[in-house]
Amino acid sequence: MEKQFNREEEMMKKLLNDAGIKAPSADFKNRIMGIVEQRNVAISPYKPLIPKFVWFILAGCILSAVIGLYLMSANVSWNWSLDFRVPEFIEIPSIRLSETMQYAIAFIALFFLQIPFMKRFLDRQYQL
Amino acid sequence: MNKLTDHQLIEKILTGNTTVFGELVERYQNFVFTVAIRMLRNTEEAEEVAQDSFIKAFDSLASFRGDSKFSTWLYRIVYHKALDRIKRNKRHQTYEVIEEITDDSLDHIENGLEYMLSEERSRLINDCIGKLPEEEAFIISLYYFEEQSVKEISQVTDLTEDNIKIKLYRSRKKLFSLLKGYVKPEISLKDGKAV
Repeated sequence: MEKQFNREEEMMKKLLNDAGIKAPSADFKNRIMGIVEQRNVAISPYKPLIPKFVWFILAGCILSAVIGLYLMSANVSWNWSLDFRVPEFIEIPSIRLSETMQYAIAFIALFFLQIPFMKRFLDRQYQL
Repeated sequence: MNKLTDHQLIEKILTGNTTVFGELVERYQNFVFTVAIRMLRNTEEAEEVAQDSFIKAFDSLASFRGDSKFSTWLYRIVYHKALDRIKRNKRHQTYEVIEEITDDSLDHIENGLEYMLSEERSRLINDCIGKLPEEEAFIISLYYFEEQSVKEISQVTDLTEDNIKIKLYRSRKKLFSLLKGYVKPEISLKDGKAV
């Protein structure tokens, strides 16, 4: 089995070499170069979206903030606390849903959750 | 004169020396055109696709970061352009006859091919490759002629490595059984047996 496999591989190589390659028409290269030069777009080399020095500045900011706050050791104490409760004078109606309705809403939410995945999947299929 | 590598050429192009792109075209035009023809089976369309691919490669050269070989990147463009074209034409031919290939039949094929003139042989092999599904014709050209690895082909085609191995196996069997059909009569004549 192994022997035949190797033989097939060798023969395929030979076949493909015998098949040879074909050359496009003679002015193929000139046509492409014609188009390329017409564009005359100045293509700039790849630059990352956020350059390196910005990363350093960001890291510096975060570090100095953390260290600064630590050194200041925040002697300020909050003697009042934030009240996140809804003021009592606004009456929020409570909604009662049947169990079936709750399931239905959950499933629709799941369905919407799929959309970004589907989009990514399709994008990948049609890229380039 | 030393030959510059693809990457050195690309750096030159990116600094504004666009004429250097011609050298890249020269390096790859034949193979690109050949695989395009194998997938599309039409000279004019293949030339258009090859041209579009080179232009597209030039336009997006700035986004080529050299993670892979330039050839792999270029073949990726060609492959997808050709597939787009095939999709637009909406002509798909399927060929799904796989015969059992034994060591004997390999002998037959080999002898029969030896018996032919080289142009005749090349034409026959190309005809048979033309009867394979487009994707497989592309994959075997890359694997057996360009000697790209399965991993590289998987980068080019977005198929998994296992899938490519299966496709290679299948297209090998298909190509052999196609060739077997063409080659057999010649052998019987040569051996002097009744056809």
